[in-house]
Amino acid sequence: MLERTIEIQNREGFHARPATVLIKEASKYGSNIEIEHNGRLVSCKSIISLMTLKAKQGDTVKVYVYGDDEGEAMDSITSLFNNRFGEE
Amino acid sequence: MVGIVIVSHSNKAAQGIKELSIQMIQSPVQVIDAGGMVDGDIGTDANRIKDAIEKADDGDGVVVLVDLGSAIMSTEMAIEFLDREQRERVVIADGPILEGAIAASLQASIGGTLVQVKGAAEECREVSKL
Repeated sequence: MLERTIEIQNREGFHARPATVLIKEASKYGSNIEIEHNGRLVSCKSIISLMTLKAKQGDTVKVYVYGDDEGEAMDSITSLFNNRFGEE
Repeated sequence: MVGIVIVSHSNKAAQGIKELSIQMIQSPVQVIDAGGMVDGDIGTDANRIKDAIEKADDGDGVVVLVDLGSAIMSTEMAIEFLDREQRERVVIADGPILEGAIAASLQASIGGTLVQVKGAAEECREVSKL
């Protein structure tokens, strides 16, 4: 299992639209991808839970990835966070 | 891909929920609105719902999101009007219409099965907003 701590850079935080982008990306991998914020652990398979994660700009989340393609999945998920999910 | 049908008493509400879902997901997804009566009045119409289901179904099935009361009865009636073969792949999701539509549309767009898409909509019942 891979684990990485990532800071939210989106000005409006991690909200519904970034969650949508993340879920779409996560669906390309066989690995399980989970995000932990504020004591809440949410699977990327759980759409509404991820949309209501409510992480603000500057907050950190922990990303856990486990499965056969975990390395590749972690790299692509990390770059999504770092690219602010394509937002300004 | 599993299709989504939005049934509300209000034509505008159904259209708005459809627009929001499509805009939020930004990938191809089949969301069809079936709100209000033919003349635009508030209400639900089984024939309009049936047409929407047929339009939304490409063979993988349809999940219908409903608002309240007679929206459910009209949808059940619409499903009865379908061919037996098609009827078996049309389900009503027991979840909130707006959040459910967004979650279901996203699940459908990433290739979710009928059970998974319905599940995504129904999961919205359990999640606290605040």
